[in-house]
Amino acid sequence: MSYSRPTSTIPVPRYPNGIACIAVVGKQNNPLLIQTFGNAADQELKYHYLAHMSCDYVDEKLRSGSKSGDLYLGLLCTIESQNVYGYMTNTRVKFLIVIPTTVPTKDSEVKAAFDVIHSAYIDLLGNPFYDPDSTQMVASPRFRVRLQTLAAPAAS
Amino acid sequence: MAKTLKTLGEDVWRTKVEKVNGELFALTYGSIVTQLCRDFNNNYAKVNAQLDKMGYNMGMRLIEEFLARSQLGRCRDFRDTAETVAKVAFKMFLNISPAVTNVAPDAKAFSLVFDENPLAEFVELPEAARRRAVGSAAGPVENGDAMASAPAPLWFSNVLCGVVRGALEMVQLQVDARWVSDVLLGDECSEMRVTLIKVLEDEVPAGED
Repeated sequence: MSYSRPTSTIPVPRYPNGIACIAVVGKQNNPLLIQTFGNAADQELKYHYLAHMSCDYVDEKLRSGSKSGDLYLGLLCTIESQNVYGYMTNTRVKFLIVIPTTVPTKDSEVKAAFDVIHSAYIDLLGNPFYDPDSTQMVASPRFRVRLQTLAAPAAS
Repeated sequence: MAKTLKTLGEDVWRTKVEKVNGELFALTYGSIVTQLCRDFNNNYAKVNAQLDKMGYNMGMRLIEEFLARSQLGRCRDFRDTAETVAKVAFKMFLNISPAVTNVAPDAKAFSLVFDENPLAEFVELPEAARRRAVGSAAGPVENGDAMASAPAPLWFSNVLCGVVRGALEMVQLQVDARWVSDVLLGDECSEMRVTLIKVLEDEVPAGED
């Protein structure tokens, strides 16, 4: 079966190198998943804090009223030499990607990454055993594996 | 003969069957299973039994539609039954073609190996549902109370066992159908074992010497 998913306009998606962290935040700004990669793996707490702060920036972006209805929110802020990019679904679930400022990153790559996260999140919701209203962190190994594959250094 | 059945199955699927959206179908079945889990307080043995019962009731009715659309006559032997169930019946209702394997030497049992399962499209079982004790059984549960306390894994697609059992009973074949492995539980493949218990009529069963 094939389903229509949001696809980036880039024919060959390239993903950003050096993603430090991917965060999924629920509609009540509750963290659903905070996953760190590579060198950042031992600094979970710092990324929890980053994600929390970024939610304020997301709210600010919303209030400043971007009527375009685009899900991709762009670069939200730069904290402690980390770039935080945001993306919000219509159901107010937010995805955040954190990349160190030292890594050169193209907007299109970040958008492609968000599409993958969104796709993985949709599949997670398809699991009847997952409760979308739960405020617990996401336990699904399959979801984590997909994010892991995304954040792994791109084989170029 | 097998080739004809395969073609027949594909034809019936293409021309005579109304289709429904696959996601809708998977989500509907998923909510049935999770609701049963909640109703039975995650007693997976009872959930398995209930799914089998539901399947049984469905199978009893589906057989009529199957016979009407496929226009097939009697199967010559149980091996023929296996091929028909796999190539025509599953194709017609679920658009999948499980493989018939492990046919017993006396042809009284066979296995259906599923390489895809539209019921379990996005499913990931919670940890507790995957735990199994030695020799925990799927399919019809004889002694419901005794089984209730034994830890059993959740056989997510157990409704299919009931459907096979119910449908074959209506054509005078009493069978036992149960899952022996399931990819959702981490196994290599999803395999259903169907065993003929007895033929239900007095007349000479087709294919027996």
